[in-house]
Amino acid sequence: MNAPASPLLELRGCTIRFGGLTAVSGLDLAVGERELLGLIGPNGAGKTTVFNLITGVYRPAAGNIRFAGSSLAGLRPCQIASLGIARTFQNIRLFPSMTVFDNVRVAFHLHLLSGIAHALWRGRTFRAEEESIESRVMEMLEIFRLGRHRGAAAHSLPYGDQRRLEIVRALATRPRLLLLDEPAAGMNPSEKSELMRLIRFVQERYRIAVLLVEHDMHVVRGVCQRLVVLDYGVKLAEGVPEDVLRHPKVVAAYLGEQNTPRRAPAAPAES
Amino acid sequence: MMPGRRFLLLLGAVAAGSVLSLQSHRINPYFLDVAVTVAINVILAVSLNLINGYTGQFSLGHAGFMAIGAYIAASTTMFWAPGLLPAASSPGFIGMAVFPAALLAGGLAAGLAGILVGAPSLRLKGDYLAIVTLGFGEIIRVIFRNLESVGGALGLNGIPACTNLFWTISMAALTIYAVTSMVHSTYGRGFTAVQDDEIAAEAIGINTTRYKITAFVVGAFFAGIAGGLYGHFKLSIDPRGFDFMKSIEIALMVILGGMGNTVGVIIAAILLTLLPELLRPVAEYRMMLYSFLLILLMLTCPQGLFQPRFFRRLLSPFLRGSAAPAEDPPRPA
Amino acid sequence: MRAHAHIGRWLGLGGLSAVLLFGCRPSPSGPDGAAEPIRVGEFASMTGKEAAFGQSSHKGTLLAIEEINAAGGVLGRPLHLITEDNQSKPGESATVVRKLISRERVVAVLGEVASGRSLEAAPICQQSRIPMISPSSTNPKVTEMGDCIFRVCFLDSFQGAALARFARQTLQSTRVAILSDAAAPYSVGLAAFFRERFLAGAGQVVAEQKYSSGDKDFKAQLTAIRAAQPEAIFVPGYYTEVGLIALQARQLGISVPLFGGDGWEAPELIQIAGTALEGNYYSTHFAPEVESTVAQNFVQKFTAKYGAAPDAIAALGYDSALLLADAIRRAGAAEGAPLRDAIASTRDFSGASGLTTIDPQRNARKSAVMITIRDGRFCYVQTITPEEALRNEPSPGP
Repeated sequence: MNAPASPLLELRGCTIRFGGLTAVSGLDLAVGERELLGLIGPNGAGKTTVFNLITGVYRPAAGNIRFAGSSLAGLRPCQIASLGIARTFQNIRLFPSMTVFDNVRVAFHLHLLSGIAHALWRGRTFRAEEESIESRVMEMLEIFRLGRHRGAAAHSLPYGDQRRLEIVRALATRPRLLLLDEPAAGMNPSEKSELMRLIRFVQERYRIAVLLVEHDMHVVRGVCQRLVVLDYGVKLAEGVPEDVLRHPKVVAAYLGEQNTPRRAPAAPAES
Repeated sequence: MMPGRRFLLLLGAVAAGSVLSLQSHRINPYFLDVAVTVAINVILAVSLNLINGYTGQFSLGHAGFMAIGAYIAASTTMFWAPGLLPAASSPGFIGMAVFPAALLAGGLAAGLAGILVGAPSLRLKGDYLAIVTLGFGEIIRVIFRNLESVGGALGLNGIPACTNLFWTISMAALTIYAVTSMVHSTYGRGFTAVQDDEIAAEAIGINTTRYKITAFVVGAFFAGIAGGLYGHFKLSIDPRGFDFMKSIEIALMVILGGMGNTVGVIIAAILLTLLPELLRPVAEYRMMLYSFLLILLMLTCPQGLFQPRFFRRLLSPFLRGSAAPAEDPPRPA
Repeated sequence: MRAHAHIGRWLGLGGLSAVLLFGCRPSPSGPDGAAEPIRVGEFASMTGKEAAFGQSSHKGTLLAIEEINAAGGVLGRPLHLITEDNQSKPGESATVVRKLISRERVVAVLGEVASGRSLEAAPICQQSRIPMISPSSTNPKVTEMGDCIFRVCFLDSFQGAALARFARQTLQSTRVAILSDAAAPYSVGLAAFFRERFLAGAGQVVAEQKYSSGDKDFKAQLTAIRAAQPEAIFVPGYYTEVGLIALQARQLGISVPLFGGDGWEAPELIQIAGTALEGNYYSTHFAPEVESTVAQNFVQKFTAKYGAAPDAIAALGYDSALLLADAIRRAGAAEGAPLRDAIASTRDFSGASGLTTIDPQRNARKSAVMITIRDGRFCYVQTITPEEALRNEPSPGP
């Protein structure tokens, strides 16, 4: 399986340096429509940096990124989000002081018809829209089994629920591409298998592409249709999981790590 | 969300304000003075709460916005309006027609300044932003002090007495209405999102720049209106009245009321205005006792004055039996 | 832990409600006696930045009230002084004066030292037609606020004229430099009045420099002034800055005399300036050495009561209360229009700060005294009467 012919997201020759360190070097990456692509690599390989490049947190020193046919160069993170790229974070970033309900509701912001003036006037359009948002938020919370926590403060949720809530919040922006940054970190085996079901379910139900950064090879193998391996900011290999994971360079990069399957999850180091 | 409930409250407050205002000759002028001061401080605290409490941009420049509003509004009623419409300089006309326009002009000018101050907030956070906004407030004060056309260091005197209970109560109600309406909407949750986590907010498409500037502009607008009311009430404004101590006083109301808790902030504004008045009998020890009480309040209610749960627990001995406090009720969405 | 938090909250709440209850208690009524006291209001900067002035003025006023009451009061009724603090803060004076008038029902209001605070209170007194007597606000605008607003001190216009005459006649200077405080309306105003009169007397202002209250370094301004070679330097500021200016001027080798207005008057002036101000001059309202019975009586009683000699602010505070009592006596009533008219018709009232006449603009016509600093003490030099100061003198000498 090769890179899609007309990809949804395409990185060409992307390079970024931090001081003297080249974190990502000349990376080509393509994600097709409704594709489940895994981005793997050892710690410090530059995986999260790739996410930050795509979402506009960092700007590439060289190369360009195109999404759905238009360039993302110079766009702010919020503009990129409005084009249809949503993400989660390696170390969960919810809005801790807001309720579970509001965490999701605020993500509907992107598709609001009414702005500040409507909020002040509170006319019929505004109220109808608020009611429809409310019912859609509740529907999503029920689907992801968070409905009973709707009034709780986000920071008070159990860890697994927080992860799930972050995904729901990302989905509420109605993305075409969802970036998941180590969603399985800190989960036990049963939570992990539930997560795998969840990712497949999301991809099917919302018909979106998913780019997954993950350390857990079991999850990667179980979810991804295609893999890209990164090491020291350079692409090592690309292809279907079975081939890629047997690739000699990949084996070398992961040497030792594959033999210890229960490696510490959620290594705090940024990649 | 009951449609229109908040709007009905606003109308009710305006109606109450006009009734009280018509009867104000029966109210002792001193109580009237305190009531108007309370309402002005409510406007200031609630508007600052949008910036500090909801959006998390720690601003210490609110007195500067207030000063702009006070000077622009006073200049409108004293110089500009009589200059433009020499025939219409009767006190009645100024009170009825010119004064609302003057308040609006003061608010708009302060809002414009809000853009200027909001801009550095894009790059600065926390303490650094506080210092920049504090500097802004001082710059405004020094500018007015050196403007001879508005009285320089002596300030403006002989401002027409246009402020009454109607205007102050209506404007306080309008401020509360505007701020709560804004934050209690899908759009408005974005302010809190910016405060909670800017990176996550951007990631779900919230334009943090626009939100921060909006918060500064709306907050400054109402501070400007409060300034206009203040000037036309005290009849004399002096640049020293808008120094950073005033900003800190307002910030104190927000902190004591609980950041981002409008009810708490209103209670704090009322309490912190009444307290020094009630403490007058102890003369020189007044400010000492006042400061002591502030410390006591901060220690006992570090999360803010108004916590629904605390009040329910406080009242529970009296409610026991029939209406014992239940678990957290589901949040009305 | 939780129990502790509970106790803390209850304690806080209890403390607060105790204070509220205490605060709500009505203010105590006047001293027991047959005659109902005459209620006199005073608002002053008892605390805050200008507390030194406020306290001084209040001490003088209080002494006068006690003296009057010891002598049997006015019209057979004692005076009851109700003092409110405005914390030297703008915006507070309006509130406290409203309280004095509407809650305490005072017949007249005494205050303030700072012109800015007096300007806030004046429209409120005027609106209620309660006479207000400012002891020592020298800005002309104060009494322009209405026909119920009076003062017992001279105006800056007069002080400027007196200083111009002093510079011209006594210091024999024709070339003067001015160093004023741009942040203080008092200083700006006094500088302007001085300049006008000094130029009218054929003097020459060779340099004009400005600073702001709170500045610590004046070397740039002083260097510019030195270059202009003045024969004297007029510094119409407040004592804190004046002390530093004197020190730095001497450091820069400027030896010509410095002179200024009543803003200089405070013991701190000499503490700051040390010997740098020896032989320099300022004008003020009152000097303890003035040989009048009222002044000597005042100095003696003030020193006995407070353990320190009074300054001009205290003398004016004293005079404001005495003048009010005198007007009540002449009016035969302690309220309304008769009282206002009696104050307005005050002629040659003899107070601690000399003879006071209220003119049609409700300002006091009275003399200024010149003080010099000798051996670290304030010493009386001469008195300048209104007639002298406002006379257009030909320049002395050839």
